[in-house]
Order: sequence, then C-alpha cells, then structure tokens
Amino acid sequence: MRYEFETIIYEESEGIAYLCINMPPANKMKSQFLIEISMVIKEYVLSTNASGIIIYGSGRHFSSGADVGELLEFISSHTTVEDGAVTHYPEWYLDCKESFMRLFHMKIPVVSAIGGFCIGSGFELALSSHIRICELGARLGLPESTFGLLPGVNGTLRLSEEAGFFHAYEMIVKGSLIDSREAKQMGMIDLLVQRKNSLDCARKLIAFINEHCSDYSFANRFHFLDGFKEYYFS
Amino acid sequence: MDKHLLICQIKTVSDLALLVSETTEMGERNTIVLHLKKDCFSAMEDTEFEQVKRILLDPYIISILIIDCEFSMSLYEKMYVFDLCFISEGGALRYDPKHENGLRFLHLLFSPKTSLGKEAGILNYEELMSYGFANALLRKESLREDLELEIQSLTMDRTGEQLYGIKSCMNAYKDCCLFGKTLITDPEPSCFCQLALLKTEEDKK
Repeated sequence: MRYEFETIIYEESEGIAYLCINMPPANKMKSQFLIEISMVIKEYVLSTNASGIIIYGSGRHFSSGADVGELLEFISSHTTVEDGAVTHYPEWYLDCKESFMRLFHMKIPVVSAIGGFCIGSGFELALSSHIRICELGARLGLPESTFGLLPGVNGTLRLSEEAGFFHAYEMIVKGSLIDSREAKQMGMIDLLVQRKNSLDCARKLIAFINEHCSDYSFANRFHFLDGFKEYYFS
Repeated sequence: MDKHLLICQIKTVSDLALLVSETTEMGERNTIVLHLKKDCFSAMEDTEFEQVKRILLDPYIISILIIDCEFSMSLYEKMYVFDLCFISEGGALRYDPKHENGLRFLHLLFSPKTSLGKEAGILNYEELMSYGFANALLRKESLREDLELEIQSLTMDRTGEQLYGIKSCMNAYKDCCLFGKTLITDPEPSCFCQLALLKTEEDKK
C-alpha cells in the first residue's frame, strides 16, 4: 500500500508504516506539508495495523524546518486577535499540533530516522516520535527564536521531557543548532548510527521490538532499545 | 547590561530578602542571578520561598542560579523556579539516591535519561557537568565575564514578547511534569500566533 501526496509519501510495507517527508533536497516544510501531515496522520497513521511507524526524510535531510515567510503569511491571514488576545486560531495549525500529539500517544513504536538537518518543525515532528535514531553529522535544533518566533508544535514540552527543562530552555532561547553527538549526550536522540544507516536501523529496531515483545509502550521503550543495542551493536 | 541585570550573592537566607526588595524598589529587570555561596535555599521557609518564587517565575524575567557551594538533594526540589543553572568550581552535590523527590526533580530539570547509580557520595563540579547537571561552567577567575556572555547569547535580538512566551510555556509545562497538574490551557498556540502576527507587522514596516 502506497499513497503519494504532494509533500508526503505514506507507505505500508512488511508490517511497517513509513511516513516520508518528500520535498527534497532540503525537505523545507511548506504550508501544504503542514496541512497534509495532519491529514495523513489522522486518516492513515492512527488507524494503521502496522507494528511500528518510521518517519524519515527523502534524500539527505530529515527536514530543514518550515518556510518561515510563507508560514508567517499563512498564520497572520488566519488568526484573529481582539483586545490583545487571540480569538481565532488557524485551523490547520491546531490540527497539526493535535495530530503530532496523537502520533506521540500511539501504542506502537514510532521511530524517527534522522539524517542531515532536523530543524524547527522538522525537529518537532521528530520529537513527536518515541525513539529518535540519528546519523553522525546530523544537525538538530529549534531556531525559531532567531527569527522572532518560538516553537509552536509541542516542541517546548517534548524537548523539555527528553532533555530536561534547563537544557530545553537554553536551546530554545538561544535557537542554536547542535550536532548529533551533543544531542545524544543531552538525551534528545536515543541512538547514534553511521551516515545513511538510520532508516535501516529503524526498520531493524521495529522488527526487534516485534519479535521480542507484545507489551510495547512509550514508558518501557528503553527496555527494548537497550536489548536492541546489545543484540546489534555489541 | 547592568540596568537589566541584578546579581545577588547569597550566603544566608536573609540575603534573599535583598532580591525581593531590590526588584520591588528598582523596577523590572530582565535578568536576575542568584549566586549561591551557601546552600541556604534548600532550607528556606515556605512563605519566604513563595515570595522568591513569585519573582523568579515571572515570565518577563530570566532567572539564573549559579551554584558555588556544596549542596544537598533538597535544592533540586526548589530549583525549578530558575530558568537556567550554572555551576562554578565551588559547586558540589551531596548525592543521596534515597532522596526520591530530589532525584525525580534532578532528572526532570536536567537529564531525564541519566542514571546516577545507587551509591551516595559527593559529586564535584566536573562530575556534575559531565552528567549534564548544569547549563555551563563559570570559572571563578572569569565568572562575571562568562556570565555576561551567556546572558548576551540568551537575550541578544530576542524580544520581550518572545522571552515571555517561551517562559510562559515552560512554566505551564513545569506545572504538569513536575507537579502532575493538568494542562487546562496550553499557552503555546496563543504565544506562537501572537508572535507570528507581530513579526509579520514588523516585516511589513
């Protein structure tokens, strides 16, 4: 089963669901992507019978984040403010935020396979997965604060949960990008692999979890990840 | 920078009173730094702590703790009122694996995935840094300069609205993760959209 949309390819193969960000070379997230991702998550991902989900980027990069100019235009034309308070939010934005959170709450393993740039809303999507497998040389971060914004799709909460509040605050306010080794040290990613190996490794991890358990949950994900590391890397 | 920065050197609980009076008398400051020379924060009375907490959790303020003394696990239960934590050479933790709440806060604030083991002992500033239990090390001989550089990299080109938005989200999520409160209204959409509108207006000018 394979569905190709304008910016996303959704595919199920050998019991694994693949969500591919398909806007190479940089996989910059246009507004069309932000609309399509919610639709694909709601209509396909959440109801899948697959044993796991892998999110990855087509080509070298996971995603270099949102197209800021277009995003700002898109938000300002769909937001209403009265007396300093927002009274109407863009529907696609709330949909996107909700679908990322629902993806995170799925009962099957959700794994991001990260290479190249994983930035901004791209990183927020990766943070919506349970396990992040990252290639050496990848660069990650939430640079929204450097262009007048803040992370808007659960990034603040999810980064705080993964790396602790103090490191998350520093990274968000500074807007700095870090490399995959530093991200691993800070707990933002869970497994570091050689270049071009993240997708294959994600596939093997889901197969491993599937073979070794029937009680996977987000809470016990590291139990399986540790077993997988021992099996494949030692 | 000085007119935006208040540094209090804390050696006794009563030194904290300075923080309260200074911020009241001298108006709003962007950054408040507590340089902890003695672990008097852990033992602070609830009423005093509430006063300090009210100031430090203000979303318009960046609150920074510098640990420059030996401290107990109890400090972690109060450390959430800060946004950042730096350590200096005098910083050392009396690690007690039986202090469950301190340990829980330590993980949530600094490093949820780090395991520290079951043996009690002293962890010096280098060990604390290597575990990721501080944002940065501030050397004694260049503490003020290092601190100012750190603050500059946090605040330069960031608007008050941005800092307010980020900290409002952080405060709400801390309430959920640290204290199990339910998130009734997520501040993120409102802060995000308002900032986007401000940025669009600014770009049009």
